[in-house]
Amino acid sequence: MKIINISYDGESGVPVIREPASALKNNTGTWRVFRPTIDSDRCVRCGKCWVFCPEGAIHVDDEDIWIDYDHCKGCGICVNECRFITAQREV
Amino acid sequence: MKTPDLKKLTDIPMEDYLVGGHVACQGCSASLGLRLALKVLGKDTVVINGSGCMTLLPVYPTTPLRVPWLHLAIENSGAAGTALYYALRRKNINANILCYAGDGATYDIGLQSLSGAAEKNIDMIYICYNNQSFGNTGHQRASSTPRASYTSTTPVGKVEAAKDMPAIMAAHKIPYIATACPSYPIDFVNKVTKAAEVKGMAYIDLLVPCPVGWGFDPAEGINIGRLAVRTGMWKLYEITDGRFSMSYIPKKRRKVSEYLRAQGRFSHLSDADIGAIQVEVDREWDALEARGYEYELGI
Amino acid sequence: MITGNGAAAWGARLARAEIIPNFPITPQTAIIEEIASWIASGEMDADFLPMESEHSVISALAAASSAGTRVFSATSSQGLLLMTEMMFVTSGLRLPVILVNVSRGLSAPITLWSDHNDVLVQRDSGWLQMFCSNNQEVLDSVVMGYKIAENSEVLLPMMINLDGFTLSATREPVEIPSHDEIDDFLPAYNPKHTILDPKEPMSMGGAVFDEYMYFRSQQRMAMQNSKSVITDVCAEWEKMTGRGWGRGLVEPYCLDDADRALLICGSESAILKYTVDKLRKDGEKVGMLRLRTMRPFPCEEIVDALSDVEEIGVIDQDISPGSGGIIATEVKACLGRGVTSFIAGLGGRRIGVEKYEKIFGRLGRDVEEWIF
Repeated sequence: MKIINISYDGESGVPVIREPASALKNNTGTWRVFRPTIDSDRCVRCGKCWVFCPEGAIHVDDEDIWIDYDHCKGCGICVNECRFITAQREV
Repeated sequence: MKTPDLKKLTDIPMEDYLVGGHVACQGCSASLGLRLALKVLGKDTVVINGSGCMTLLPVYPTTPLRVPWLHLAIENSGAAGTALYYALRRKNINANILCYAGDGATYDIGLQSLSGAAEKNIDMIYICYNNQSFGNTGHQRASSTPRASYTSTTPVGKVEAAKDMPAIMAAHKIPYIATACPSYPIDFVNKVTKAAEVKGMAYIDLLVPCPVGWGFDPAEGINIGRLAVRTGMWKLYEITDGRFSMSYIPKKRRKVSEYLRAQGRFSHLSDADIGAIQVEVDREWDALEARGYEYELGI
Repeated sequence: MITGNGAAAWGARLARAEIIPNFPITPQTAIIEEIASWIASGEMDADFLPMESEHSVISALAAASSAGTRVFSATSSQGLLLMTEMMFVTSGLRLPVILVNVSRGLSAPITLWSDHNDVLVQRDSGWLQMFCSNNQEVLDSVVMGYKIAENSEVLLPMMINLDGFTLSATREPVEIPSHDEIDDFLPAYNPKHTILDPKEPMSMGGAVFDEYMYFRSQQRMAMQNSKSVITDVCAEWEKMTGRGWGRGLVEPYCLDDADRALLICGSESAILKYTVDKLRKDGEKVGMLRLRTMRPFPCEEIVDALSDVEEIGVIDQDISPGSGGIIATEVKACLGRGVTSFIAGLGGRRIGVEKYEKIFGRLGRDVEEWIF
């Protein structure tokens, strides 16, 4: 029997995801109800918020510490762990 | 064996091999556990996953992983890891093999396959992320569920105690077994490092408090894990070449009620029920203290 | 002179299969025992992985194939059924695994003897299914199987069936090609579509949403493509060895002027051929069509071969209670006319010349008849 409306796409038709870390394209920041903010002046760089963030959404370098709001789901773990991080309801 | 030397949080490698943008729940400790494990295992790691919550990390067409990932089914991570060990050797690929599977996939449906891999002492790291239930399907009873816990299939609380999975692994005489919790990240990553360095199979049972299944605010996950350890309801220990040793002994154990009352799954318990659990936990610790916190298992 | 099991093992050895996960089950066990002895003696370079169940065997096949190695195993009956879940995973991930099934009837009640219900349970699993009629065909099919399955137009697993005991334990003369010949015919497996290498990290086996139907369509097309690939590979094999096995999908026998024909698959075809010869000597215009592949189902080839035949019967060594002979049902659908469906040879029940003669006398009805 002839198959009329599908075609074969070769190896690209194999269900494999080839681009590492491509999930960063997804904006899971939209899940957030409470927005954490780091008081970077008082931050002592202990690393707690960075380690415990399940999303890996807190970034630290020599100069700065910041939250990637495109991927922070607003779970509040960092707020619980650190008195220099506060949460405000998203508007 | 080289002793892992991470002492403070900022010693943990910066690089992430599990990034955000995936669909794990807010405050998920299982994804945190994988993120931490991959930080120390590094890029030369291949992950085998048994069906469960973490199976939904890669959802076509995107993946949050920077390392190879293979999911086949729920009950066969041990078999897949075994074959992968030989296949990578044939391909001259020198990589850590990490099996990351849930407690349902480990204690219950995947036990046979895991036992096969352990009996062969395959050089891989098996981390069971243990939320003490079949979490991904909505928190049903598993053999890892602790006594008295509500699950959607034990609506009045589980009658039986949890299976002692690390002891089952110890009976396989694999060289390294540990329990851990992401609330103690230094302890956990050092154990993962040891697991990677050991020649042969390593098993880590990782308690991952689950906000959805256990009934607590997602912000509380780390605290709940700490309470599990500080109340003595989750013991952190290692079994290295048959030698048991506690990794952390709470100086003064907190009352189990602090841990139990913080979770919806135990909300049906009366004070008397909690009292009975306290007695049980105290008895276990008394026995442990009497024996000493470090001893040969003798199996 | 080697057995069907020996021929299957030789196929794996010649194809240089690298990873051999295995679990014993009668009547397949001699295949893995043979391979174990070759690996132990250094005659075959492969890793022998004794697993804890057939489910673990197929899981190991899938994982090792995902990592880009050439894999082989064999099973039978209940073992094949235990693999069912992973059969679909393996084809869904498009892994060119080769699995030999030594067919045996299904429990309960227990039988050790051959019929085709075990294979046909896996009919819809997305695996290519090849039925062999003799031991030489077993060896040839295993080697050709890799070339077909690994073709980029296909990339699907293949199950190669030989009948328990009638082939698996029976010695027949088998020509064993040299390693050099096979190495030229079948290059090493170095896939691009799946690999588990940290240098090229891929995520495999994840979930999809809307794309599910797309990936299923790709499996369907791959199966469709396999028809011409099978024909081409068989033609190439014929050039090399002189054996083309009817050019792949079906093997017609004495059909040119036949007015009656029986369709069959597997080793029972040998005695049926003998019966056809015998009846032809008596002037009867009978013929036979042997189905080599059940998947892809060779509908056009069946229509071509049988269009001028007046009365057609189908021998099913299987039964789908509630429907009937599985192959007869499919043949009817593709021919668009009634055929006489014979259920025979279940649990190794001998069919034999006399019964075939009787069957040829009972064609021309649209009924299901059991031949005990």
